[in-house]
Amino acid sequence: MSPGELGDLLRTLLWGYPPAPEMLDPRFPEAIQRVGGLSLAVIIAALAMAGGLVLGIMLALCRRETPPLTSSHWRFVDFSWRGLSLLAAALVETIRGLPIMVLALLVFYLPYPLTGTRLPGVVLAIIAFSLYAGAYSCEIIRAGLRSFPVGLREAGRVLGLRPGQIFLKIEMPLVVRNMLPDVVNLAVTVFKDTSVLAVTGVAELTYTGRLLFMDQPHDYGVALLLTMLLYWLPAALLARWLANAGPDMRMC
Amino acid sequence: MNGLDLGRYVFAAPYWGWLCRGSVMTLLIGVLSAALGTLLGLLVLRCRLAGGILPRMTGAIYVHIFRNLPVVPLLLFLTFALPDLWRQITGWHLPRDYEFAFLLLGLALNAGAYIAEILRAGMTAVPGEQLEAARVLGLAPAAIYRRVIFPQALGVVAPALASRYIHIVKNSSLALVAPLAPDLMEMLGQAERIAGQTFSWAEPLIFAALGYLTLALALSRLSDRLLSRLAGQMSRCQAGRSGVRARGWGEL
Repeated sequence: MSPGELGDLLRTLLWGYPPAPEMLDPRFPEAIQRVGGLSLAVIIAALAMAGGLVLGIMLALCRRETPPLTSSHWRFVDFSWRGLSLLAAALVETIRGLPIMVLALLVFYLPYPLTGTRLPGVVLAIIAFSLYAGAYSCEIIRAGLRSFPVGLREAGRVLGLRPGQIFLKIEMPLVVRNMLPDVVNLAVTVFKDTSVLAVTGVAELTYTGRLLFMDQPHDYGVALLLTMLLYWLPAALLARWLANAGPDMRMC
Repeated sequence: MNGLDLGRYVFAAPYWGWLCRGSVMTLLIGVLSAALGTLLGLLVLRCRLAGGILPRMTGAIYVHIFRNLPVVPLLLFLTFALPDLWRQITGWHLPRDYEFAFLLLGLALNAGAYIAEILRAGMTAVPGEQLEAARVLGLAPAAIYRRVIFPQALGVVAPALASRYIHIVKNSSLALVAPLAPDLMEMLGQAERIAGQTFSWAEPLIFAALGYLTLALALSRLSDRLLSRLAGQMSRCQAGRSGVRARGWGEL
């Protein structure tokens, strides 16, 4: 295999396989549909993390176990009542109990027979991974809120801070710093797990690698090796950074 | 939009048998990959604790590689590219159902890296005085590790280990990407087989999702029970130890 071929292979893995003209959906801009490979995996993981954190915060608010009256700073966002909390718990436990492959397939193949709507694969992928990230980040956020020492809240109250000030100036910074390593860890997991989308036909990195391998089956599996390298490198770099910086982040 | 027809695609004659067979295979793949992963993890742990630089480096590199590698591309490489490579190099064909062995190998490689890392974290969490005390008592090095350090390390990391085992069993769903013989397919593979014949993914998928949910729920209940029993034993141990200290040096 010549260096030029290797470069082509790498470029395809980074930016995606050129889609066949009949596969393009005229309802959506063409430039978006041409994105594939590693860049699509990163885009899906990033959007899913963003959606997942929003979902996780909402689920954690539904599920928090502190009674509303003792933590008065939550009052302005308080919508916890028992039914909602049970519903959120059921959703989180269901998603956490399912393997990501099954969750992704459910999101891809269940809506059509039930409602008759078809969405583009990338959108479904982002929904599936948002649910996944949401369930896991809900647990991370709950653990973070629980790790906050009550004494600090009382100290803030003694100093004459208002509940909102205690929340914004004392609780938030500490809790966010405590949660950050776990959130980065979750992001790495989500990025790695986007590889299951290959079975649903989303043109991300694994799908592209498999197509390239099918095109050139006698190239010693170089396409698949490069695919693994492209997953491994970002994940390993983030993990290394986390191992160095993570312990300093946690404050309480 | 045509709704779901479980009676036709799940409970009907050939499909129900396929799915039941698939659930047995899911259990089998989960148990086998967990067992192989444990063996591999213990082996790597032994290497990393050994004195020589070579086994130590090998163990560290193995863990570093496979912890940051997603399983799907790994399984694709092992079941598609590697047999091809073998044929090209040696000219021999692999024995029948070799894909199953490669599938187990891939799942075990991933599981072993995580288990080795968790166990190592437990080993470093055991206080150094324990090692010194055991040495002073004249225990052989092997006995020190087997009877003093390892049980305590296991107690420290038991929750992490339990959730990793649940994850390993859930990872058996990734066998969908491996080209297995119909007899050896797990639940999702059988669901895909049904979908290939009937063009309806949703119904067998619901069966598989419920199966995995039941499995995950049962395993987490089991691990909760075991962990609380272990915690009870540990706390009794701790109480005994501190009791001795209180009697001995309580007044100091």
